[in-house]
Amino acid sequence: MEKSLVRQTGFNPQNTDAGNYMLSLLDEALLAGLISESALQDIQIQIMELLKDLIIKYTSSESSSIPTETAQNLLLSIFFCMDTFCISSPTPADCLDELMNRSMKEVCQEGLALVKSKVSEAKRLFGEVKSTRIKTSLVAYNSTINEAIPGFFKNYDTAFNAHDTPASIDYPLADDVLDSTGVSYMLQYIERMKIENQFCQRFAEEAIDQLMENYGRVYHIHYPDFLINIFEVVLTNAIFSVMLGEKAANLTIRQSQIVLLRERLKGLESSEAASLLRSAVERTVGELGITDPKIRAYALHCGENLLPRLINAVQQDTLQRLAIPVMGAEPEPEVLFVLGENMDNEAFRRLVEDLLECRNPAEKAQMFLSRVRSLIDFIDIFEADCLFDDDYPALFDLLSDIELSILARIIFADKLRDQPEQFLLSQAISDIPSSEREWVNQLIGFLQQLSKGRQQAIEILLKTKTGIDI
Amino acid sequence: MADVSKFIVNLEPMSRQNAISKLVSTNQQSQKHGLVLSERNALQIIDARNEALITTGRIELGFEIINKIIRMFCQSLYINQANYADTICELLAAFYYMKNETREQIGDDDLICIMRDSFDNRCFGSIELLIGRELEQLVAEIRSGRYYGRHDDSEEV
Repeated sequence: MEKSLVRQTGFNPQNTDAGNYMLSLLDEALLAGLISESALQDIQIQIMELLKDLIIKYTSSESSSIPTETAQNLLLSIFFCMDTFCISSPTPADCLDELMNRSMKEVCQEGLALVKSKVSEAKRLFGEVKSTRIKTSLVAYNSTINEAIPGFFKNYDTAFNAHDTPASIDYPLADDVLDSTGVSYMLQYIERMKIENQFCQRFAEEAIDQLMENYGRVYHIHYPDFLINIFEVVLTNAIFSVMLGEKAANLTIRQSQIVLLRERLKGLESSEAASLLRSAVERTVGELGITDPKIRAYALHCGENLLPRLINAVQQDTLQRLAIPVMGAEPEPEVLFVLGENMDNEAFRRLVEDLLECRNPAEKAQMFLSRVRSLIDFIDIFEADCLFDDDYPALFDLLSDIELSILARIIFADKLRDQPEQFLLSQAISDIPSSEREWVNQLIGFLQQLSKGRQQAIEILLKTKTGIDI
Repeated sequence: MADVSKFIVNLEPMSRQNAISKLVSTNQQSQKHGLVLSERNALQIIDARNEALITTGRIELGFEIINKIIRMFCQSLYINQANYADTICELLAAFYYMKNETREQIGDDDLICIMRDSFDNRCFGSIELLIGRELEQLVAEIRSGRYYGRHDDSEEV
């Protein structure tokens, strides 16, 4: 039916916008002459009536006018429900048929019922996410499961804000959910997180934990504080294990094996690398005994997505940062504040109060360094609004190049990871846009006024510590 | 995310003629107090209402507020035929301004009652005093948490 519609009328559902489905479908139908202007106007009037009813409900009949922004939100909520109804139709032509023969009130009510059933489904799946959760120190992973997702269920408002996603989801998925909001986003996010958990269940907890520790050592970061996808790290090492002729369940790769792997991959054309990767991914999934079609498809998709990074890593000779090798048992001591313990809440609060009371930047800097022992506390104090303009240079003046490089690495983590060879500190600090975080702007300002010699020294430290010279 | 603002605005012209008729029909009640709106007055009031909504960044589906303000204020002794339409226009602007400033904490009917009471009993028909003194005082009371409602027996608007 769809094909013949395209042929006969030019109606092409491909032109619809997933984020604005119903309206774009109606636009397309109007262009193809499948609906009249007056029918569209009638739909518009019906939707305005729905909005009017919703405004009355929203204001508990107390107000007939509301701020434009609130009205837009209510209307978006109505469209979200209607889109949910439309997307559930088997085909766009079926959907159009329903829209022409049903009242908008019915469409919206049925859409709302579907939204509510998605919430129930998301809650059920979240139960499975919790029962398959990975034991990890990764803060973003734990806070997403412990706080962000439960917070969504607590705050999600199907009646007035169905399109909104009231959750601060930090943990990045290997295949992030795009073009979706509200419960549609959350349902997909939870489904994918469950798949990632189930995949990781094929590996020993200790092996995953060790791999993540090694990841931290390779990148010289305190990995629990960073936004890293565990599944992706695990899948990547499992695939390289298979390439090396080891078992897929083995996540341990030695430095010498990385050298071997690099030699094997070096001369391959892109198409050969793609074929080798595809076959390794398929073998990995097969060896792990993954039969669930959803987990299988997800792992194959994410595995094959590794190709550009694999080709780049071979070309740039940085394979040891894609396949994570076993590192020394103890992390290299970098600097005191990276390895120290975090302050407890009371000590943190007292320090903030003392810093706020102290007026002298030099004394504040001394006080800061004498009491802060961990990088996390360092950053938390920066973000506690207790340091002012002159305080930052006084503090940065007391830091060594290595300590400054550790702070700079937080700012330039992405650049250092993606294209470390091309990284130039002098260029990076002049190109970077102004940040919402004051300490970032202050550090950039401080680095800019350093001599070229010191800038180069910090640049070398940045590159060395991310593994280029390992 | 869909931009729905045009969707709302586009609907307004369709109800315009209907609104003029509704406004003129309030003459049935107001002429008992010697006040009458011509079609031209009605159009002036509708334009003032639309401008007030744009200025205050608000949306209203329907024209209930105009009707409520007319029904409430046509009984005021301080309004006469010469200043009738202009006063309604100014009251509308003050009303939507107050809806924002009071952060939606007073319902339409209560706010109109407060405005009428102040207009007649404390401002003696001065719209300047109503806006510049009484309503600003109300805003200050609400913002400082000192507002507990002024009308226990709110008059039905």
